[in-house]
Amino acid sequence: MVNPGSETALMNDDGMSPEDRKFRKELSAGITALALLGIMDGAPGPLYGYSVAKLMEERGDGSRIVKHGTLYPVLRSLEGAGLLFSTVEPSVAGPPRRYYTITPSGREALGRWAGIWKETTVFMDGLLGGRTDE
Amino acid sequence: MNKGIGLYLDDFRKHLKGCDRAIVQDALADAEDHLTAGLENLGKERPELTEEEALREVVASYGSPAELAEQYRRVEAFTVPALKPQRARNERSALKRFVGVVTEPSAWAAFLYMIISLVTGIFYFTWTTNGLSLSLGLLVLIIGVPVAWLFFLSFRGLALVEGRMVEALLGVRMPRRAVFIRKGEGWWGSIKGVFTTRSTWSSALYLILMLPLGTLYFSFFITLAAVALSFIASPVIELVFHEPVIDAPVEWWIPVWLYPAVVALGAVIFMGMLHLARLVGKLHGRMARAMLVS
Repeated sequence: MVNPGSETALMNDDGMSPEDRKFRKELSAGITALALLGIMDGAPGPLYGYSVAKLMEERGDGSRIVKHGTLYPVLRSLEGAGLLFSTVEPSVAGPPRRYYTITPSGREALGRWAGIWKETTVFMDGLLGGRTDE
Repeated sequence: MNKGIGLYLDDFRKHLKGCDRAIVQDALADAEDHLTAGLENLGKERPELTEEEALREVVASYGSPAELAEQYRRVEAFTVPALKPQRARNERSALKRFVGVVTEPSAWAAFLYMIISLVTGIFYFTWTTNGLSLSLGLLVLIIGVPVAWLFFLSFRGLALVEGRMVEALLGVRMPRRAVFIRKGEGWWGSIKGVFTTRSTWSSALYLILMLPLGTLYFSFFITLAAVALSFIASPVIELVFHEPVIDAPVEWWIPVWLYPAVVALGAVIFMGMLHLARLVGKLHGRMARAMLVS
């Protein structure tokens, strides 16, 4: 069986050049935390790792800009910073799950970060001169 | 466990080489949990896919081991454990560093750990020795196996709890997730897994060791703290409450001119005690990492 995790398996999958992949990776590293806070803020209730990824896929039009595996360490770091709060609950199948909810200071951070994001997109749109609309 | 997931995890483990062991444990548990759930879900949504295609799909959205290992390293680098000891500020003079310990939360936290380790130590020891002897005793009967299994599972749980405490108070990065119980190995496989994992046994040993260690830590540090505090409070005790600080074997009143020296000595003992607590905490943290992390 082909090792599903090897780079070649992935390359066939999304057919990107190494430069493109590198650029996308660097970009997504910066936005994962903001994307997570956005998802948690609009979530109907507490979410665990896999359900966060599913919701992100649904709302993000199935885009794979943010790889699901990159969410887990960021979830823990946001919790460490007090922006998310978590509880562990037993699950019917498998090990107990950690459910996350956004904290008030997480909402404040989301407001500020969304402002910074807006500033960034306005700046980039200005630089790219409408190229992004194509 | 699915063979493909196993291969992925092996590859992931290779890419995480050199990482903190606690991070490796967390990262592998995250991946196994997510991939297993993803595969199950995709199997229901699109049953026409072969197992290999489904796994390829799930892995494509999860990320390659190389990029994820990089992400874990990057994110963990700035996720400092609570109260991680600040780096030694070498530019400060030796005297300032010695006195400055009273303003460092990490030293106070280590002292707190030493004090509560008596209580946790007694509980861990009682639970573990009872668990082991009950399991061993009942092993001749058929109910012995589930009893032993439950107790061994509880050792892992206690190890995780103790790990969280060690991280919070001693500033050592410990796992945030329990060792993953593999699905799909059958009930006998998962029962066997609990007994054959090295960390279960070393955790049990750690829990037993916590009684002598906790007693030692507690008595040593509480004695130092009590002596230091009684020295510091001696003027108040003698002048206000008219009680001699030293009354055995003979009553002895500290002469007034000696008060500043006695108070200063008390302060030095207390600060030295905080330094010592931090040092012992560091050593204990190392031991906890060696024994509690899989």
